[in-house]
Amino acid sequence: MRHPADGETWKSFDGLHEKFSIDSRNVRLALASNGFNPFRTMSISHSTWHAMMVVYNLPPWLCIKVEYTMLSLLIPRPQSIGNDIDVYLQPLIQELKELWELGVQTYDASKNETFLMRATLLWTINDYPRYAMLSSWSTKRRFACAYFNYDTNSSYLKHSHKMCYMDHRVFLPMNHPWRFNKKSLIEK
Amino acid sequence: MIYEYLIITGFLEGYDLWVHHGEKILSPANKDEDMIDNEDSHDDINALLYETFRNVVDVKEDKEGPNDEARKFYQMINDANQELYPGCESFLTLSFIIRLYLLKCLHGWRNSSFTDLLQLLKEVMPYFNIPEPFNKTNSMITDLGFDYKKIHACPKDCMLFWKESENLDACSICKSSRWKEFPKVNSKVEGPKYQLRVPAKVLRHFPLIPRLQRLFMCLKNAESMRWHEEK
Repeated sequence: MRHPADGETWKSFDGLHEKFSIDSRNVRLALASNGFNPFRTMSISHSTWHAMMVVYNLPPWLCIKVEYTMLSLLIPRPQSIGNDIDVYLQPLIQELKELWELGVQTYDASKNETFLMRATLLWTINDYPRYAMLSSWSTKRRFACAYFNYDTNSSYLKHSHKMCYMDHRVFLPMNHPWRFNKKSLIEK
Repeated sequence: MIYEYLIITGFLEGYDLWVHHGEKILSPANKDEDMIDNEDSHDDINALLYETFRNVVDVKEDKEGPNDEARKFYQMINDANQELYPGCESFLTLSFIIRLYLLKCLHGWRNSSFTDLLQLLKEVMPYFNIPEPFNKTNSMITDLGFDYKKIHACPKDCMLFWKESENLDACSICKSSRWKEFPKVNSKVEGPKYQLRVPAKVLRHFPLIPRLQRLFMCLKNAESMRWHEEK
């Protein structure tokens, strides 16, 4: 896989939204967000938050280059942003909604014509703690897996006071000898 | 206060240049280390103006042609694509202004000092092709799409002061003031009649739609936007 266009997400999205994928100029975006310290010194704990857009229509040698990523929000604050990020994402979400639902008339220089540009946000790029902020699904404690949600299999270790996530048998192929080996692999 | 100052003057303005597509501009963080890159950035701006946009501007409108917005943009680029002075080969007016503005942002010059510098340049070299009045340079930068919107926010992160609540003075959820409160000075000398209001928290929003539109206005980029299908 050299580009997300070869990936499953891209293809299944094309299947779901044929109207969108019919024009290859429609933009697929990714949102990257994280906190950073603008003062070039790590001795001050301050974190300014940013949200950057990555355009995945571009070829792999361009799409994540500095010149082609677009800064779209800059949120000043002394501490990490937490769930309040929702408040600050509003202007961006509004724009994305407009791009997805209505589209924007755009002039294409290569074909010398005006077309209706639509855009979708396909991915977010972030580390696991930030994932909780962007998706509003806590990535800690019992239901830490944002993909399995309430089906996350977790158990609390009474003596070490930690959560642990077991039940990896589900990822084994059906004919694997350990797949149904409840006795030796069961949690508790 | 120093941090505040850093954020408002040097750092962010550096960033708002940096977002523009196809342009290699140093972020202030590494300006000291790579001065060689600086040279590149100069070349890149010229290349951007010469190659990417000129081709399009010259195209005779046989088909549909650019829409009004795009035409305005190209017109603007075209207008500014003049020689800096008669016989100058290395700089265009636009690339000169962009470079100067970049320096302004990196080193935190004030707007007034920037204007004064331009005025002095014009005075010393009357044949210099710099727009007059001088605050036009600022609007030029805005027209190019280097600008951003400032949206005030509640200091406790409850809401943004935009749309219908744009003119409120206090947060409608937690009632905290939108403006910074300064301690009152107990002096006998009367202060100024009105106080300058400083917002407590400002969100900077760099509009996405015009940036995407500009991506398509550039010939080279518009072609590579279709890469994923044609490859």
